[in-house]
Amino acid sequence: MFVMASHSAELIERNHPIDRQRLICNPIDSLSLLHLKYDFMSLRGIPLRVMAGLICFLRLISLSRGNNCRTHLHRLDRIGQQPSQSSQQDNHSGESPLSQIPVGDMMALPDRALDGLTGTTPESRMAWAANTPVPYDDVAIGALGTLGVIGGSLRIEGALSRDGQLLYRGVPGNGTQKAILGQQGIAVPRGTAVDEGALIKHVLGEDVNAGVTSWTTDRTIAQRFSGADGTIIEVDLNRVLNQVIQRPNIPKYSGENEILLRNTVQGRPTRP
Amino acid sequence: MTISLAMWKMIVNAIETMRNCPPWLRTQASLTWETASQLPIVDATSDGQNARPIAEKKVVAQDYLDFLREQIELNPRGPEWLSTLKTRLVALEPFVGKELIVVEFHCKPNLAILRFLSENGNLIHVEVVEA
Repeated sequence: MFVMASHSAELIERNHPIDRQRLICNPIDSLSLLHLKYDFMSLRGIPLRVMAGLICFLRLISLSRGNNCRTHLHRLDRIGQQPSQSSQQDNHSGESPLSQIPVGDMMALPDRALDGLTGTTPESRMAWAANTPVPYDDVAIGALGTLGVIGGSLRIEGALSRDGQLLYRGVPGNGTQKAILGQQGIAVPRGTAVDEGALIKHVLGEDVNAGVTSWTTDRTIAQRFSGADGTIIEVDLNRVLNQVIQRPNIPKYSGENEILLRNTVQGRPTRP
Repeated sequence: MTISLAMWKMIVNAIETMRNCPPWLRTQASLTWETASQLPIVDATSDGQNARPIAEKKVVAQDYLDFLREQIELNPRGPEWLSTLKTRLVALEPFVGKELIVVEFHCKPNLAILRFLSENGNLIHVEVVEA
């Protein structure tokens, strides 16, 4: 399965709905070239090397036209495990290789990763993908942009990162260090743990030193957590895309549009 | 922390005395210590698959109880959440500064958290979260 995804989810959404049989993509959309169409099924069986060559060729065209998108090829033998040599070279900090891959770069994706992405809205496709275990048995290649892989599962970052999308975090105004930092627009995780058990406990309000803070795409939900005297921190999703960690599947509170961000986030403090 | 054989027996005994114990938790408690220790970690399991139980020692902290009280006051998630937090607070309040053994059982998307008092192994709180 070969996937080359667009950097403009909305462009795809508007002009070429995604379905599981065919992804119509535009890797060089900023150049206003014709959309390139690939049929998944017809490209099955083409060696990865050939695909990589094709991508490099398109990249050269892209560069020659002044496109800034980066297209390093990251090959992950198994999502969430050790990267191959090519991606290790790009992995400087020792963190998960997945978290090191910038939006716009190329990487290996498991086959069937796009199965079921039949939703008609970016949000539904994102939710579908985020809640779907990604099988490990096969790989394909794709471009981050519309597609992203975070924490071992597929998520459509391009859809998530529509221009202007804000994230909100409600911080109660209780005089604690967290509240004081919140008034400065700063959100600091309690700890560093990002294993699934820690994330589940974080979402459930347990006493855990998780390495994430909770945000939502819905300001009214943030207001519930901040109270009238607290602070709502706002941040542009595009600024923190590389900090997004997949929320564990806890159906009970999934209506909060919760998004987990790892590490410290600097946003804008606002009144609830 | 590693779950020892003696601790596993303590946990299993506690689960067997639970009223309304969910079937998936009873299934996990029926496993031998060796089998339970060899289950995959929660990160490596999919929905409906038993994960290796996790145990950790945790001192009941005043600031965590303050967090619970604040959440109860704000009530951001509705009545069921409110009830869960109130029960948790009532269970933990008498043990500020005391060490607990907190044991988690995962069978995604279900979760059970059991809290034992370290000094005598008494079960002081059980919380089950199911889809």
